[in-house]
Amino acid sequence: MNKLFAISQAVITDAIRRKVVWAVVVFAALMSIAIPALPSYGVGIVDGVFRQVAIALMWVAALIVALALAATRLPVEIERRTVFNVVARDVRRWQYVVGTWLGMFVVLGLVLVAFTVAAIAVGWVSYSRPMFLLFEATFAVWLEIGIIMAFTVMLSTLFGPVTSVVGGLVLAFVGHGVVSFLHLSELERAPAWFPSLDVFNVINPVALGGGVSWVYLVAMVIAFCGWVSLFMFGGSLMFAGRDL
Amino acid sequence: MTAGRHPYVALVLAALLALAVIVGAQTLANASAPPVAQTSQSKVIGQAGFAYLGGVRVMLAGLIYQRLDPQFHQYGTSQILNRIDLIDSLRLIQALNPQLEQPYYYVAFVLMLKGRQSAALAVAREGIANNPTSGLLRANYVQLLMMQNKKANLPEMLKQTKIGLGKGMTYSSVDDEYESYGIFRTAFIIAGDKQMAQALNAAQRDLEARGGVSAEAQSGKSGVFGLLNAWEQSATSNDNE
Amino acid sequence: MPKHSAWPLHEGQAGSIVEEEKEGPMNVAVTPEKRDASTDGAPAILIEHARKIYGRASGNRRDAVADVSVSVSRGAIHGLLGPNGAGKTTTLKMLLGLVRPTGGRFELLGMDARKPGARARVGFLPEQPYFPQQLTALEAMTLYGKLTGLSASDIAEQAASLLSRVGLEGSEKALLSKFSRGMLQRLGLAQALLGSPEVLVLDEPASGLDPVGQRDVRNLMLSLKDEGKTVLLSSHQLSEVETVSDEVTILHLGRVAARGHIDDLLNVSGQTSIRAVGDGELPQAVSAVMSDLAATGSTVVFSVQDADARTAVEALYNGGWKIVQLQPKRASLEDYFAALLESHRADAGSNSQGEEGVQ
Repeated sequence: MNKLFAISQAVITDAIRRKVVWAVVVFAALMSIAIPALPSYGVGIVDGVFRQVAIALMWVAALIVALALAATRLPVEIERRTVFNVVARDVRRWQYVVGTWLGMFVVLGLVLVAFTVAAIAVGWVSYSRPMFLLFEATFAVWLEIGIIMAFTVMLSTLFGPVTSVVGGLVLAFVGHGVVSFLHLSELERAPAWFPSLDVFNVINPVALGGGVSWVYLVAMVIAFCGWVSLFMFGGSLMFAGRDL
Repeated sequence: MTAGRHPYVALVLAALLALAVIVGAQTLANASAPPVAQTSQSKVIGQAGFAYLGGVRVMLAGLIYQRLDPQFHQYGTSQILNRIDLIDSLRLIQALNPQLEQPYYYVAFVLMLKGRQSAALAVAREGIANNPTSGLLRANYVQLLMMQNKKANLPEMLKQTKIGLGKGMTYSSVDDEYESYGIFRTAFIIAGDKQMAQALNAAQRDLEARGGVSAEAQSGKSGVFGLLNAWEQSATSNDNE
Repeated sequence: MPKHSAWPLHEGQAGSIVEEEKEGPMNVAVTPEKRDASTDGAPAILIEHARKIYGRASGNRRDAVADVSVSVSRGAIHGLLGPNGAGKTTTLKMLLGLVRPTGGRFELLGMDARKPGARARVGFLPEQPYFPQQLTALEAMTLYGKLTGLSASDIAEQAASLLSRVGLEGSEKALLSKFSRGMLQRLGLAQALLGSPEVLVLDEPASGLDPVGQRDVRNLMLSLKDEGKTVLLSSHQLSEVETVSDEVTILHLGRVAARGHIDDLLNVSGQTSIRAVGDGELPQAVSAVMSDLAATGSTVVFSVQDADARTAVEALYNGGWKIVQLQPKRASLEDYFAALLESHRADAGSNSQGEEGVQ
């Protein structure tokens, strides 16, 4: 595990020092300032709509950061041969894949926390109250995008950045397409037997309700573990079979 | 056959186990979900995206209009007649931001002064449809009806005037409100309703007293409102005749 | 008559060396031999019948490595040579688990190289190494130290001293994105030495270094050997390999073209090289038997058949010449290498002509 964490730490340090990650955060934070002034929402932006838009913005920003990191890390490491110094040591291929994903997952969390703090600050100024409930949505987005990140990392063990990004985007949208697949009304919950990412959709409970329960949060974590395990296992197998 | 010797077996077993975990978690989530109606995540993101794009287009429309607006204040009536070239830019602004009022009445005026009455009225009606609570555009429509045929259009003029003076109408500035009252007053004069005309006159004086009405608006000589003033005087004197 | 003694060899030609007689001409410098240490126990590196075929599924089959066997004695410096495309890097990658072999057996210090733990005592310097750009040199060393399984205190101690050893003192906190090619190469050496590995695999270790740096690398390898470490060195710089290596394996088109101790490969069998200093003309007895004469000022170097060595030495001594060096005649590795490849190409050409003739 020490080796896995060592790889994660290197990924975190490397990503944090790259300006692109923080450029996305700053841009998203600036966009959150514009929320109260958005047109096309009818009369004014009430605080519930503010939270909805903030969550949507958070999700998109997180997706951009996730795909940018996850789709490029392994292909670049392989192309530049920086992976040789790691894999030639007594480091298993699965440790490299999982450690890389874990580091990116931590960076994603830091980005989301930074954005959420900014959004809460904007909401506090605009609506005179702190919307700490947004952190529940942050947690859900973090888990969901972490899954998409794991899938993208899995693809990147064999394919280039473009294919990996496309794959990640497909999962992001297909993961919420159960309503279409099963011809459900959009107000219905996705059935439990159909694997989807809808379990991480907490927009209405956070934006318009009182949030979700602890049990629901635990359920999200369990679903997250299932998805990530699947993709990391697949990614490790794919990477183990690859000639470097 | 062991998973260790056959990695594909291991993969299938792992996939099945993971799916079982996922389905179990989703079951638990469905059982503990709060009693709030779901919303489609894609729809929320799409709405937000459209709103942001709307913000961009509104900003663009504002930028383009800011370049054009000073030109309308610089030119006198006869010169505006020659600025047919501005119509395309104004129509672009309308397309980007249908909620911006000024392009509608400038385009409608230029068309009316060029003799394209039907087109002018169509633009004015489009402005009202996109901005139903705009007092200024309501007044603009009344004004154009006046210019077309103040006698034949009188019933429609009065109908629109009453809507324009109704609850919920909004004005972007005191000047717009002042000028609009002036147009509505003229309509009442043409209709012979001196009481309403005087009431609107008093409302205008009231606005002046409160301050905020520009000298230009008060003089009745600014830009197209200068034209309006001249037209009003012509309409009133013809009526008196 | 000089004595000849046969060497114990792993594989390859049985060679010989002229041993000095205790009596006879004096003060003759003999080139120090570079002999390997004890060959007790399993070799440090064992590669048997390594094979790597690319493109089997796609139909564009390419035998990157057809049949390569290499055995590296413990404590030796073993050079792996070959022209571009010979299969050197692919062989090293198979050994270190970077590439899946199509066939063959790979062992490191007696352990199957594919098993966990096999590479725990191996340091690797890849060709033209790169590192994560946003890390500093110290952070990179810390990362690799952790991956090697070192404790925090060991990492702190070794990282600083190794960076200093490779000439990077003062650059510990610089971002790697600012490092030059040569500095990255030095860092690559430093990270390969973390944990004091028993075996080092170095792929083009002097690449990107100036002549002073190349000398430092040579000295480093020799000092590693003095410490009892085993080095497998892959390089295009034949002079570097010749200087430091005890054994070499030469690859060509994915197969072993030659292998053995350097001296046995390069020593020209049956000839002795003599270097002497003196004035005037060489004695007639020497002129009659010598060949390949090269003269610079008062120094002459020439070759004689082993059987004529004593005659030449005595003639020189009697003629007032001072004998500076007496050793087996030796080709340069470059000449040997070129001749070997040429003969392989000629064989390949004659084989194809033979096949055409049969047809």
